[in-house]
Parts: sequence; structure tokens; C-alpha cells
Amino acid sequence: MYFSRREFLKANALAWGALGINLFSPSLFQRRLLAAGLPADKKLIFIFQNGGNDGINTVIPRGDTAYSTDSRPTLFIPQAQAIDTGNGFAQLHPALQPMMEIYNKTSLNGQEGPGNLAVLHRIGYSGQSRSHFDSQQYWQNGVPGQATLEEGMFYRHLNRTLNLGSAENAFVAAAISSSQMVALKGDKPFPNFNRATEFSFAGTATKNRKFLGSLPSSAGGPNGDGLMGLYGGPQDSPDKIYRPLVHETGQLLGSTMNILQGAVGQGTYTPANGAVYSNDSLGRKLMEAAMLFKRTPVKIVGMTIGGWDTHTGQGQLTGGHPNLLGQLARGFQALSRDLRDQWDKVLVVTMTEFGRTSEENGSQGTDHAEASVVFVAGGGVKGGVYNCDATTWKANDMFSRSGRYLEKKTDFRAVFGEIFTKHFGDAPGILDEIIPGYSAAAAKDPNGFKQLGFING
Amino acid sequence: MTNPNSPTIPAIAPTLPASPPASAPSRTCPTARILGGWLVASLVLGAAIPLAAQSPSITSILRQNNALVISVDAPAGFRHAVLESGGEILQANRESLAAGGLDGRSGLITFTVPNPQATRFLRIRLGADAAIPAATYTGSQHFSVDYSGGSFGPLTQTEKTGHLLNRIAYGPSLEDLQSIQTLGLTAFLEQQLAPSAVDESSNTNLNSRVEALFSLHQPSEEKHLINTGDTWRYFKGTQAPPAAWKDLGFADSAWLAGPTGIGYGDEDDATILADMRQAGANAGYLAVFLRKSFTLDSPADIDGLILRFDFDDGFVAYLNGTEIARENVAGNPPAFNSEATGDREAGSPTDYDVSVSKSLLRPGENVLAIEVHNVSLTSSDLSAIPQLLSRKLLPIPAQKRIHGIEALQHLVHVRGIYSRRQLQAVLGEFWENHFTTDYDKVAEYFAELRNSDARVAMTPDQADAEAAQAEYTEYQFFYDNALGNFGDLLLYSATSPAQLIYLDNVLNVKGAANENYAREILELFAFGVDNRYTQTDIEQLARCFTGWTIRKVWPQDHKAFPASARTPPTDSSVQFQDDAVLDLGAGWKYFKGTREPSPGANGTATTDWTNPDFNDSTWTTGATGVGYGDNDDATLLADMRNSYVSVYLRREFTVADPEALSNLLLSVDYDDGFVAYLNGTEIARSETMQDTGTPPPFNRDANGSHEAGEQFESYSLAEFRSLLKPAPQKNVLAIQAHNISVDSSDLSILPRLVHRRLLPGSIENGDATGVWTFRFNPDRHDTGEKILFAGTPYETRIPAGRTGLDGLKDAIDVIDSFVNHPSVSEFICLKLINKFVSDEITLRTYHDGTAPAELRALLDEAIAAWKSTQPAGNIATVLRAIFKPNTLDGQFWSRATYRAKVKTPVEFINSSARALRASVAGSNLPAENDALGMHLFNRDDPDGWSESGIDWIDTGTLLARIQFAQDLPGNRVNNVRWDVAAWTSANGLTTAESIVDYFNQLLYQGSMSPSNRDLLIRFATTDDNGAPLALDPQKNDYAARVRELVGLIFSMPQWHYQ
Repeated sequence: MYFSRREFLKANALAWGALGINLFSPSLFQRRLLAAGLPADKKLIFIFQNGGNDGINTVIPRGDTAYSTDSRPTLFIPQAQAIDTGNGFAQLHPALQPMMEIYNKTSLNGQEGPGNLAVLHRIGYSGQSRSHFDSQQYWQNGVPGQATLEEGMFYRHLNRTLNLGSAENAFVAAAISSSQMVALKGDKPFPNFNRATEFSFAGTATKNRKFLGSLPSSAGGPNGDGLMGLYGGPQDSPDKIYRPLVHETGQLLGSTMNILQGAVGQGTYTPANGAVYSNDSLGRKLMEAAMLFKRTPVKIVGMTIGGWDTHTGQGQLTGGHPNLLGQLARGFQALSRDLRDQWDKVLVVTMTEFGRTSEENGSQGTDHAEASVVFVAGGGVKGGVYNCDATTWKANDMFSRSGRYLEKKTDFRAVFGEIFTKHFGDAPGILDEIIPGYSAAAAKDPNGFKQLGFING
Repeated sequence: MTNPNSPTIPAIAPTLPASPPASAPSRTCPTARILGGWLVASLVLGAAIPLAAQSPSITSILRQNNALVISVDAPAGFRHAVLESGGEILQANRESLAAGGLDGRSGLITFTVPNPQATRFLRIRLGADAAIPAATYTGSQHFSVDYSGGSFGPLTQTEKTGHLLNRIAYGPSLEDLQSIQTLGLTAFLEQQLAPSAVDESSNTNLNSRVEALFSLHQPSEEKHLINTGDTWRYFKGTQAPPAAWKDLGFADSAWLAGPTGIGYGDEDDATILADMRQAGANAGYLAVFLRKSFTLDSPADIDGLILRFDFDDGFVAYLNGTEIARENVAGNPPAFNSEATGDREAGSPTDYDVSVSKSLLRPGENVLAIEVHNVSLTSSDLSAIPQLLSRKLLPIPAQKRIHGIEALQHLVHVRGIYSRRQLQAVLGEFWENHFTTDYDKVAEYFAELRNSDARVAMTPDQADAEAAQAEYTEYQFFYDNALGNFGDLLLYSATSPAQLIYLDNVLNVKGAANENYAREILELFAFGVDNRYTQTDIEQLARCFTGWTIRKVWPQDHKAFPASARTPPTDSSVQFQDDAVLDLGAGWKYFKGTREPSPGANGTATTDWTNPDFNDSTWTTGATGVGYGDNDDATLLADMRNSYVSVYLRREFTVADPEALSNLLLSVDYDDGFVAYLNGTEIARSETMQDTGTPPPFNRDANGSHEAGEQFESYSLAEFRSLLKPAPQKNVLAIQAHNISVDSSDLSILPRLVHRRLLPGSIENGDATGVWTFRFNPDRHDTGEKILFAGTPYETRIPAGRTGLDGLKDAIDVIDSFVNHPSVSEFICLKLINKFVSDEITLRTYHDGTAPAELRALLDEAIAAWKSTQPAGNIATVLRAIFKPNTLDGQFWSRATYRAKVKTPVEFINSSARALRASVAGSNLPAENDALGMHLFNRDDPDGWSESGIDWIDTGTLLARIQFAQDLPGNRVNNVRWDVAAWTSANGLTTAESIVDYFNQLLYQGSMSPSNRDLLIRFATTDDNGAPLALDPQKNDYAARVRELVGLIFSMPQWHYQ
């Protein structure tokens, strides 16, 4: 078989792994983070479902008679085939079965289990954009209406609670993604990489050491060497756009390589407690996230899973959408097993830019709509179904907005506000800095900002 | 180097134009440095210093005759300048050699003084005081200012040249630098704006590479001589067959007979060789010998012969006794008990062009004989599914076809690197990306298409090839019309098959419109997000697009744009007539699925009830359709709902001559699922009954829903034709129909058996000669009234009742009107400014006035230019307003714009190859571009690749960029070669300094900082451990070390900017 050079390099990335670079002392990263009194050991994985997940076929409002073969001729999930949540109203798509081992709890559905999965329905925001790109931006930067703001909620949380200028915080967050995710973007870049195991240059350790060189003795100084000397050295036209980004990212490249080489160098990763990550892109990324949680100082890891833009041939019990739901559910299941010994500190949360039209379109699919579903799992999560029950969901609420869409009940900023304050322990007073405009929006929409209380304590 | 008598200006490449001094420092250089043998310093004194304290810098020191000429780059805000000399750099009292006044603007100051032999230190001092200090030399012969020069003022000629090539080209190349030197910037730019003015006929570097990406496809018609499912004679290889087994005259009547596929395992065979695999007492055998005779009246009339063979694992094929093809089999002839030499899995056939053997054909009877060998006796499978096709060339000119998607991606690189019509190459890529489509989705769509015989229309390879061709056709139009009218580009894109597939307009039908394309043409292709349109407009526009789809046409029927868009065909590409073999109506028996109709030993489901001899006398008699709900059933199952989920049907029928039914189909309308059997053998099942058991039990729910009443689904029975018995023997069609749930509101089953005859003029989806084109289907068009942009000055009312081709005008009229809509001129001009000028303006900052005033003004100018032509939206006119070729001024040429954008991956790769003059063969650059994050023609999201630098700089992409930056000069990119020896001798560059200075000039217009220059030279003159090691062209390691040095130069922060 023909083996291209690039494939060869990828396959042998580990063989070249011993880069021997030591730009920063690893011991720095073993010190505790500058936590400013916050529970710095709390961790989070966010999974962005790119394309807009059909919340209605994910968490089925069975109690709404509008959910029928009339509204969804080929996508309708029969009651007998869906999974009961125990609240007598909401059912989960059968492909989500692997998640149930996190959801189960005697008091919820009569099944024994930890009850660590919160299913949040009808999450969105007022003035919902049905543009993928704008809405993805809003969900990640936390400021609906500001489509060009390239600064993320998680970035602001970290920037507000840690000293990001300190080298030891360079790897406190990362995206396992070929490009950086907006939620982690900000003045100070965080690393992103497609595969932790392949984050190195080809070539021998000696050549790489010389090529990487060393940072100058002072920031921006002229006496560095090699690549680090160039990226840590003086900027050309420093008043022009992109200079700080390029230079800081270049320096971050060196430190990230150092950390990932150290982590990968500890040997092949074996998930704990019989966890099995599925052999798909999400499974691989989640396994890398778990590995990084165990071997590096990283606290927040983001990733995307694409394919949710199901305009055609969405699939009912089998097909594209059910496959994606299955990947997601298997991912949650594997994480909850693999991270069992730190599960109390971990929170896994999904995001998606919008839900889909309550009525099926003419090509066995659904179009862009408004509110959708968020899953939250973790040791501190108070499991159950939120916003999808007989008390809060009236008949025909599926079409509660413009006769076409499911209207949001809870603003996504309230969901993340709860995560920042309850999971990470951020002071409620700084929420406006992490999610700009939070209190003003909450004042305008008190119901939408009522926190759901899905985190214990 | 401190000898003032020999100030050395580093040599630069002799081929570079407008040789300015090298080593020009950036304006942030440290205050003291050595230049041309002098230690020089600069200093800013006095009040009113601008906040962004910009330092003056000495850009060159030249000795002319007996004088010293010193150039100083001065920022704005000062009123005088003094040149001082002294014995020590920090010496307080210096001699004021020369002085002069400034008017507050930035500029390039030139001091000319007699050579001061005694001192080695020079200092420049700027002040805000209008009084000019006393000095030894004053007057215009000693002091002059060029207010149009300097790095704080307008761009110098060198900078303008570099800037232009960074923006309208894929970076500087020596050839284009020379063109600019010869023509001047204005004429060069004018040529680029009218690309046909650039003669490319002798550009063999480009032409030979482009040509290599295409081949000529000779249109031809293929006819089956032998088809899948035909009955073959076969001989099991438990012993050698008679020596003459493959000859035409061999009598094979004693051999076994069965339809293809022949083999076992993998469930892909109609004739199962159950004893072939060695297991236990069964010895098994390794080969099977097949014969099929066919008749051909006139072999002279055919032009080609194709063996289309799906097999597992190896074979030798013979035509009338002579070998014509083989794979994975050794020996001549092979031993009957020899193993295949390699393995292959059946799944999709391989074409063997055996045209050279057509002389073996004879009029009348011929025989194709094939021996198929297994890789081992215990292999899990073997298969032979052969087809033989004759090919007749059609009287149609050969068509140019791109080799595949990789060739197409490579075409963008090749044009970008080698074309002298650089602006056209850049714009071709820009428009393709603006009107983005995804090759993968197009290929998937083609792969799932069916021919009229209900079989998959094309192999995955053909689907890939046709998708690549669809993408190429689209890109080529955008390239050819890159400087034309936007309205044409938009309409072309809307009616391009690749776009129709990509954003689902092919599926857009009345009654349940698909909004995907309607949304994106507004948001992404024409208006900009939420720019004066509403959700209602999207819904209305989606209805305008109903009935839009694609079809294949013969090449000679393919219309060129705009006729392809404005007068497309309305009929389907395939016209056929179905003759009923078994029609809907009476004569059916049915059994309600309250229990198994023919339970096995343990009550399990069996297929006994599907056999012709099954006794169905106790079953009820009725007519089809059978079911309930929806009022579409002749036989109503009134008790079915909430009681049972399945119903079983049987129907006897006779056929006079099964062989005559060459295209037999099961045609079914159903709700929700079914499994069909012919004379006891399963022949078809719906998607919704996958994985429900064989046979599915009576109480099994369908695992998906399907609504009846839309269209009959067809299933090819070609491979089951041999199950049919000729009259007077009876045949039985049996069907079990299942509901999705017991409480479902409806169930229906309406089965027919038909013989389908293709009508003249038809072209099948899988016909490789055909060309995909836009089709408007009036039957699927919503003819109701639509109102767009209601309540705005651009309100458009589309009247109800436009029937036939007239309905096409609904959307065409709207698209045609777009170029006059203010949102469109705004959005497209903005995108062009983002592409060519600056990232620092968006629709929002333009509207709310927070974008820089210069950029807002430029956008206004571009919009005015857009509106100035008839029709509006001429791209060359808009670009002229941006580039201003006659005056070379305005925001595009400003210092703020210079080097303030980040290259996209394709720009990074192409500019690197151009800078090296590397020779690019093969097509490996697309894989590199993919690694850098830009897989051209393969983006999932419809917004296209970003033009904004923020999206291209992160650790992941930077790692890939720097890896490429080392691989390219390192000759580690397959098929891309940089000849260091030739390059060295052509440019006379043999020292680290000269190489660094060459690239500093070529890539950065001399703006590299002195410390970076020192760093690079240090890198080049040390060994791997950092110990000094001279770079010596005579040494063996010279080329390798030059490659490493250039790898580091291409890895610099500066190389990302353009």
C-alpha cells in the first residue's frame, strides 16, 4: 500500500516525540494555579453540536399532542421506541440509551444509578438568530447580537479568575479542534490542536531543538534564537493588527508542544473503569480530553461535533441524526466511567446554535429554528428533566413561537451563569464581566434568566 | 567593518528591480546600530511628540564621490532635523553637521555632507521647534525632504510593488517584479484588471501543468452484451476442466447453470457455491470456471469492449478462447487448484478496457469464459459478478474532463503559482469560495442516484469523477468571469448543479419548501446576514425556488450560460413506459398479522407462506391497495389499528416469456414498511425494514415511517428474473407489510410488477457521456403569490398562476433584481474590501460608523462604482475604484493597509512556492493546504473559508504552517522541487548574509529588523549544537543548511502577513 510521507509522519509522531525542548520548566505546571480563592480543581468539557440540533427529536415532548406524524410524517418517534425519563412527559431518543447509565436514579425513573445527567430543554435566547454563523458566535462569546466579537465566555471566566499572563496558565484551557473555538478566544491565545498525539514537528530532536531555539531574555528582546527567538522577539510594525496574536501564538506553540509531548510521552492512554470511547471523531477527542485531564494542568477543554444541520434525510430511528445522538451518548457514557475518580470535579456540557423547525420539511428534514436542548453531566449535577414536563409545557408549545418554532424558556446565559457561579464558584457579582450584559438582559427577561438549579449545592 | 572608507551596502539580488538599500530598519529599530560601517543613533526631542512615539531611523548611508549621503525616515509631527557627529555615542556635545526645517509631515530626509573622516558616530535629532539649529552645513544642497517617501509617509515604490503583489497576486515573484519594473505599477495593474491583455500562450510553466490535470473524454454509448443476473454455465474446480473449456466450440450443456453473482459469502451472490469453502469433511475447491455465450451481429460496428467485473479474489478472462484480462492469478494457464495471488473484496466493479481484443469477436455467437480463483480454501467468500459491454463512439466532440477533485484543487495552486494573470487567479479562488459548495456532498448525491432500472446509476468512482467535474465547471465559470458582472456570477451559482445539490434546492418542492438555499443566498451570497431581509422573505423566496432541480443532457444539448439558467429543460432526463406484469387490483389473498402465517417448529417466523405451493385457501380474498387510513386502500383493514402491526399478501400470476422481461421492476407504494418475495425468495425490502429479521416476525414494528401517496418506489428484479417460471407454470408474488406502531393512523401496501421500457431520447443518470445541467420542473413549483421585502422600497410581488416554464421567472426575476438592492452592493463591495484591503470593517461597523473613516469612505466609493454601470455590479469597475490604478493613492495604497492582512493557507503555500521559484509537479499541494486547514472545494459550512486573519492564526494552524515552511525548501513536499545549486548560481548568493538579504528584499521589501537578520545569520552559521560553523558553498552540507535557513525564513512571523 502506498504510504504518503505525511501519513508516515503521523504514524510515527511518537517516534519523534522526544523533542527534547525545554522552553519552560515542567515543574511550573505542577504548581497550583493562581486560583484567587476559587476551586481551581473544577474542570469542564464543552461539546459544540455544529449545525443546530433538533431538540424535539432529541428530547421528545411526548405529552404535547402536536408531536405527531402530522407534524413529523417520517421523523416521528413512536412512544414505544423512545426512552422514558420518568416524568411522564419527556422521552429521549432511543439512540441516547448509553447516556441513561448517567441519568438513571431511583427517584427519577425507578432505575438505579447516579442521577448525574440534567436534560435542559427549551434553551435559547431572545431575538434568536437563525444564521449558523451568528448564532454559533453568540453561544460562544455569550453576547447575542455581537457577531464579530471574537472573545469567548470561557476565556473571560479564565481571564477574570486567573493570571493569564503567567506562563503556568498557558495550558489551562484548550480546544481539540483544527481551529480555535470562539469560546476560548481572547487577547491571550489558548492552544488548540487536532490531535494531542501529533503535536510536534517532523525531524530529529537535535534539528528541532536548534530550529525551535530559545526565547529572548526579555519579552520582545533581540537576543533569542531560532523560531522562539523570532516569535518572542521584536514585532515588525507593532501597531498593526495581528502582531500580538501571531507572536503570542508562536510562543504558545512551543510551550504547548512541551506539555503535550510530556503528556503523550507517559505512554499509550488506557481509559479507566472499562470505559470505551467510540471509534469516531468525537470519541477520539473525548478520550484525549480525559487523558489531558489526568496528565496535564488543563481545566477546560472544548470541541465540536459537526453534522447537525439536518435539512434533508435527517433520519428517524436510524440515519444521520440518530447516529450523531448515539455518538454523543456513548461519549458521555465513556467519560463518566473513565473520569469516575474525578467525576465530582467534572462537568460536561453541550451547546448548539439553535433547534430546528417543529414541522418536518418536504425533504425528510428540518430547517433552522430557535430553542434546543442542552445536556449537562457531572458529579455535582442534579439530574433530571428541566423545562419539558406537564407543568410547564402546554399543548402545542412545540409551535409556541411564530407558529413554527419551539420558543425558548431559559436563556443559555442563565445556564452558563449557573455553571460559572455554582460549578466554578465565580462570584455572582462578576457575571457581568464574564457574560457582558448579563444583568441587563436578566432584568429585561426575568423568567428566561431564572436559574434552573441543575447543579447541587 | 568599522572602516568608514568602505561602507558596505549588502548586495541584493541583481534581478530585483528598483534596488533600494538593503537593511532598511523598521521604524522600531533600537536607537543605536551599526549601518554601513557607521554607528548611528536617533533621538526625538522637544514637545508635541505624537503619542505613538515613532522614532526616526536612518535607512541608508551612501558614499558618493567625496560626500556622505544619509537618508532618514522621519515620522510626522516635527519641525526640524539635525545630523550630529561625535567621537562617542553618548557624548553630550556633538558637532551639528547639517540641519534643516520640516513642515510637520512625515518624509524621507536626505543629508549630504562632506565625508567626516574623523568620526565614526552619527546621530539624528528631530525637534518640534520651528527654529532651525545652527549647523556647519545648511541649504538645499545639504538638506532635502521628500514628503512622499519614508516609512511613515506614503509607501515607497518598492513597498507599493510588494504590497500590490501581496494583495492582487499570490505574493511577489521575480517574474512579476520584473513586469512591474518594465511596465510601471499603473500599466501592470491595468493589465491585471483586463486579464486577456496578458498573453499566456507562451507560459509553458502554466500551460503544461494545467493540461496535465485534464483528459479528453470521448462520448460513447455502452450496451450490455452480458449483464448482472444473466445465467451462466459453471464448473466447480474440484478437478481441472477439459482443456478446451474456454473455447467457443466447447459444449457446456452438461455444466451447471445459474445467474450471477456466482460465489459464496458476503450475501452478494444469486448462485451460491455452498461447497466451495473448505470446512470439516468438505475438501472445498479453489476455482470455479464460468462460460457465457452471447450473440453480436456485427462486431465491426463497435468501437470498444469493456469487461466490468466485480470479483473476489482473482480471475482470468478469455474471449473465444484467448485471454483478455487477468487479476491476482498466476500461471499460464493457471492450475485449477492454484490460489489467487492477492485478495480483493467485491462491492464495486472494476472496468477493464479490453477494446484491443475486439478483433477476437465474430459475427453471431461468441463466448466469454472466466476462471475465478479464491485466495485460500478457507476464505470466507468468493464472488464473480461479470458484465460485458460494447462501446460505440458517438458523433459528439470529445469533452475536456478534470482528472478528479485533487486535480481540481491543484489547478487553483497551479494558476496561483504560475499564471501571469494573477488577479484573475486570486479572484477565481475568491468567487469559488464565496459561492462555496462541498464536493463530498455532491459526490454522495451522485452515488445514490438510480437509473430507470432502479439500480444504482454509477460506481463510486464515477460519482467522484462527475462531482469533480461539476465543481470544476463551476470554478471555471467563476474564473472566466472573475472581473465580469456580479449578477451573472450569482445567477450562475444559483443554477449550478453543484450548488443546487449542496444547499438542497434539488429537493425543494411545493407544499413543503426547503429553506436552505433561500436562506444562504440572502445571508451569505448576496445580502449579508440580517441585512434588510426577514424570516418571511426567506420563506417566500424558498417557495420561489420550488421545482428547481438538475438533470443530465447529452453534451450537444447542453446550453451555455445564460441560456442554461433562463431557458432550461423542464422535462425529466429519462422517459419510460411501464407495462404492467402484475397490476393493482383484484385477485390477491391476504392474511392479517395477528400471528405467524406459517409458524416454524417453535412458532418462529418462516417464509413457507411465500412459496408457490403454500396453501392459502383459508386466506381472505381482496384487491390492492390493502390497508387503512388515508383513504388510499381498496381493501380496508378496519380492525388493524391498535390490534396488529402486519398484513401478509399473496398473488399468483403467469408470464409467457420471462426472458423477454429484461427490465423487470417491483414498483411499490407503502406505509410504513414491506418485505417482498418471488416464488419463495426475498427480492426486496424497504429501508424501514432493515435489520428487522429474515423474515421479520409478524409482531415486529417497522423501524421507520414512510408515507404512501407520493411516489411508487422501484426495485430492480434483474438478478431475480431467473426465479420466474414460464406459463403455464404459476408464479407467486408475496409481500408482508408492517406498521411503525400498532397505534399508527395508517398502513398501506400497493405493489405492482412492471416491465419498464425506456423511450427514445432518454439519458440515464449513470450515462458517463451526459452533462449535468439545471432543470426547472413546473410540476413541483409552487404557483401561489409570493411577496418579498414587503413594505420596503424593494418590495417585489410575484403574481400567482405562473405555470410551465413561466414559473421559473419567480426566482430568476428576484435574482436579477438583486444587483440593484443596496444590501447587495454593500455586502459584495465589503467582501472585496475585506479581501483586498482590510479586515477592519464589517457590515455592522460600516452601518454604525465605528469602522475607520477611510475604510467607510472607500466602501462608499466602491458602492458608487458598483452603481455606475449598467447592469450594476461590474467587478472590474468596483476594483478600479478600490485600486485606483491611475493615481495609485487612497486607502489601498496607504501605509495602514500595507502588510496588515494575514495570508490564508492557499496564499501562504502559493506565495512560498513563488518566492522560491520551486518547481511544482504532481498534485500534492492540496494535501498540504488541507493540513493548513483549507481543504478547497470541501468545506462543510456554506460560509466559505474565512478571509479574516483571526481565523487562521492559532496553535493548530501555526504548527501546520511552520511544518510546511520547513518542508517546502527542504524538498519534503512530494513532487515539489527547489534546486539550491541552480538557485545559488543564478542569484550569486553564497553567504548567509546575502541569502537573508535576498529574501528580506524579495519578501519583506527590506523591512526585516536588524536583530532578526542577525538571528537568521546566526542560525545559518552555527551547527546543530549552536557552535559556529561557516556556511561554505564548497562543502557538502551547504544545500541542506541553506534549506534549513530558508525554512526558518518562511517560518517568521512576517511571512504570515500580506
